[in-house]
Amino acid sequence: MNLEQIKQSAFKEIEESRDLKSLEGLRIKYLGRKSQLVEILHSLKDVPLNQRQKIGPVANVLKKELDELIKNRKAELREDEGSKKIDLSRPAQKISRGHFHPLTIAEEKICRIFLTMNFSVVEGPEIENEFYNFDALNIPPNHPARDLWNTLWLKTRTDADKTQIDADKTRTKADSVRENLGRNQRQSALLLRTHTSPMQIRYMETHQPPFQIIVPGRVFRYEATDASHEINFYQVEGLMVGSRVSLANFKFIIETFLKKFFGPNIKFRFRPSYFPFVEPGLEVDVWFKDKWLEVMGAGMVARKVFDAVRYNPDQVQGFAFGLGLDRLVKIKYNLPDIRLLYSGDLRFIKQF
Amino acid sequence: MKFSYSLIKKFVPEIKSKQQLVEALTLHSFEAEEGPADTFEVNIPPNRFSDAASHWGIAKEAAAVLSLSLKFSISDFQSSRARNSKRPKNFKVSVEDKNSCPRYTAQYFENIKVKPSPSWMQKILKDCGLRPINNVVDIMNYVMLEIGQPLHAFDYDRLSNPSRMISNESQIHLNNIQDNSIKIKKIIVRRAKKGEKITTLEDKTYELNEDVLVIVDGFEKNLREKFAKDSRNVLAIAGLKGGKGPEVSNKTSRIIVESANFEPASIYKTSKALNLITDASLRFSHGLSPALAIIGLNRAAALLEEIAGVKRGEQFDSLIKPLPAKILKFNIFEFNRFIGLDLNERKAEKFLHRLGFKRLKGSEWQIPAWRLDIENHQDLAEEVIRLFGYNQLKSTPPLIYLSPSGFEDLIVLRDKIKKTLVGLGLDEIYNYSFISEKDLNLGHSWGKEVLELENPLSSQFKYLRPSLAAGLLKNIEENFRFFEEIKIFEIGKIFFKIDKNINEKNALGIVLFSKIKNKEPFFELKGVIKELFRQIGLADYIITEADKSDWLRDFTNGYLIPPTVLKIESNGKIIGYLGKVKNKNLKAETALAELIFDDLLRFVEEEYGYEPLPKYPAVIRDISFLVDYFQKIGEIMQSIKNVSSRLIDNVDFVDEFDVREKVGGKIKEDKTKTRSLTFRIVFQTPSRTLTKEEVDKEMKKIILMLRQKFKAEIR
Repeated sequence: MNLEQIKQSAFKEIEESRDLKSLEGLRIKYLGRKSQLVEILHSLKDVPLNQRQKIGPVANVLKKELDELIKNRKAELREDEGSKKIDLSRPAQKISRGHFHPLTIAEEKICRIFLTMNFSVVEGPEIENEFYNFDALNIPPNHPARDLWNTLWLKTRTDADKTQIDADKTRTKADSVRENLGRNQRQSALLLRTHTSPMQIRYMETHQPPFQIIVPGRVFRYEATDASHEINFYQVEGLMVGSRVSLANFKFIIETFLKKFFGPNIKFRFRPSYFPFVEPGLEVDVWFKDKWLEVMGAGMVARKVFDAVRYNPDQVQGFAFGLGLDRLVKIKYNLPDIRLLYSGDLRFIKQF
Repeated sequence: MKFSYSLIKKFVPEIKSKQQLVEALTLHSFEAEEGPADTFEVNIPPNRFSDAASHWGIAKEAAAVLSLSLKFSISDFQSSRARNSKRPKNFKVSVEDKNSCPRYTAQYFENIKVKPSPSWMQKILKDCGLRPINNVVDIMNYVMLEIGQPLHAFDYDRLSNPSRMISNESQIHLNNIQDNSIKIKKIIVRRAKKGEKITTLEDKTYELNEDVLVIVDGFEKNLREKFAKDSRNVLAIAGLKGGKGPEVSNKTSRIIVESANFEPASIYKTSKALNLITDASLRFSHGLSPALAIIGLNRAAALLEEIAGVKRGEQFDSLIKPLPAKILKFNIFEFNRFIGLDLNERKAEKFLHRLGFKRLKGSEWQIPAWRLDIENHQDLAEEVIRLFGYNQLKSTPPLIYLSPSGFEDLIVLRDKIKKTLVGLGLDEIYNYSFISEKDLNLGHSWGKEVLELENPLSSQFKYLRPSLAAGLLKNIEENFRFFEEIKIFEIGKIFFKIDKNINEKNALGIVLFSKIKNKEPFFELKGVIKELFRQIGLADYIITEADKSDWLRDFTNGYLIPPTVLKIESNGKIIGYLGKVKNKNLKAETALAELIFDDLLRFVEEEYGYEPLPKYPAVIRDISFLVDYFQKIGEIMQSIKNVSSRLIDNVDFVDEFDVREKVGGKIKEDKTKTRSLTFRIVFQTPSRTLTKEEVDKEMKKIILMLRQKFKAEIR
């Protein structure tokens, strides 16, 4: 074999070597004491000078090249063999960012869905007064309808204030109950809002239709807590008012929402109900685990509510709805108990 | 409210099953649910007590919804027989407070044999949760269940005999009055006097006041004042409960039956004030139609005759004129526009007919007197659409004017804060808005006063939280057993009072806790806050030590270690604080920060500023030196920057350590300069490559400054 042939076959074989042992064989074959190349180098002293000068450098270069090639191949094979020892089933390193609370996740999702339908998102105060929370929403004082909302009252009145309010109440008895609408004296009685509906009034007082808004927020009830009741929880209020906004429009908006939130196969139904600030009033149930579960109250905004915000009820119409966020989260994530949401238990939060 | 299915079935025989009834009501009227045995439950809405809180009412609804015929007519019971006998011979009625009692009807009956009521009646009473007593009382209750009108029967012979109420002295004067009326038993409807008492059949005594409407026996007002100031028999608390004394007993042979209408707010208030809710008060406080009073009375009379074999006496009715008819217009175009439907007029009319509305002329409709809930066109529309069926309504996309929609600015800011913090590895918590007295004693409030609830659910939820600190620190205590490291935040409203003004603010609270060696939650938290400000675009802020004059130190004293408290200021106002938590239970470093971010909205800038990327390489030099322990890193860094602000791009703090030797666990205090600090200084200019000589010159200046200003010993 001449040098060129040695080079070709050595390169090929080294490249194709699959383990360190065979590579060592190749090293002996091509660079060992008895290898052809070494023999050629040894025999150089016996060849004429002009030939020696021709072959010598080429042979030496080839020896260097092969040395290098074997070294590199050896490194590669070592790496391969080392890698074979890595247990790829070893668990991944833990990389994590923090976790949003499930109520944040659900609220954001709901807001985004309504945003795609041209609704804007606004918020209101958690401390409310009797006027916005009740009177303006057609829930007069001394009416059992108020018992639908168990209220937490603030201890803010001095005794002097209190006497004034009591005197007020006596004056407003009997047939003048409804006259309270719009009366601002009663605003002194403060409470924690029992629903997000007061924002209907606050928003309409400062805006003119047409508009469509949703109002997410925390609300409060004087209620013993259990797996599905909390002293504070979240609602998302919706309000859409225009010249021709109809109940059929409400059905479209809510159907779209439910399908985007729960998936296209969600089954839902409407059922008549009563809230003093809507007429007709209804409730929306979704079919979940072989049962109808109530998820929101809704209806067409009552004339008296438009009266309270000084809209002309003959010229505008619209719908309002209030959905229980905690309950939606409970359904969506299959929670056994909504109190988990306020437990601050990180073993729970870190699941979302 | 409980109902008997068999009684409904008697009124609407074509109903197929209880299930059919319950479903039809739920989908077209109100929530209903099957109950045990023969019963079912209906959730009567507050505005439907007048027409639907009775078997007759539910039967009417069922018949209308299912389009079946109703086999119970009240037409025989609607007319008052009292027209000719405004002044009955056996008794008199005087309604002194007409506002609180819009109608009072009553009738005298005699020849009564009190005995148990028939078993069919007893069964219906029991099914509906009432206890059978005797035929008279049971008929009263049965009529309430059937018609929805509460009734009350008084034993005629146990009402006060006027002559016996008069003292001997007055008797003489009385003899001079030639008026037979004083010998007639009399029922008076008036407000109670303060201190007046009534004892109920259950032997419970209530003390009354002027707000309470009562039924008493006795004299005409003018005579009462003259002769018997102590008119004593409070027969009943109007609309709520009868008293002991004139109740129907086995000895009763003559009765007066009361069927009245009371103003709802008055009954509601009394019921709340006395904490007494009865079947009657529940109905009256929701409001009943005055039309029901006479229907109930006549129905009771018929049953008394039929079952107890009594002889009817005269009737009294305080209402002289017939009730005005309620008339409303129904307009199909308006209806269709409102609902978003294309219903034809005939169909809509059929629904109204089925509900008992009578068409007069044109588009005018007469509303049944007992439908107190129907006040306007919107109410009529509800009647039509619910009978048509909400679920038959077609989803129709609204036609709207497009206007840009979006989130309110504060919501955008809050979302950005949440996303930044979660990105930095923090978990989000929602705590209650309430705290206990104990939490409050920890001490933090942004204002001087906290807000207290008038009716807290428990002592745990007594105050509105004036800070997020209490909740978050509790979260750490409850979680630290499970984790090596905890990083949490909460965003929520906090409440406090300053100078009588109530403040409701959006707050952010962050707590970092770590058991891991070499981790420093306090400085990590400082870093979190700086990065948060960078992300939300807040440039104008300073974080400095809170000194004794800052109110923060006082307020946070309960849970922060005072020398560690930093205040965060923006635009000259304290917006937050940061400090190490003192809590022995935790046994690891915990740091807490709280910010009020409402005011930040004005100062955050949406955009990040762009600076050209550096064209020329930076030269980096590290410098280490010893200083006295009290020297502040922040001050040193700023001074270095100031020396050569033109050429220095950045100064980073690398590390620090205490060079004092420890001998036998004790620190040897033999050196003054005990603190070794290392900084990394980055030199760079946008215009050229800096030479070694230039940088050396700057370093010399810096070293000189450090020696002079901080007495530094360069290592």
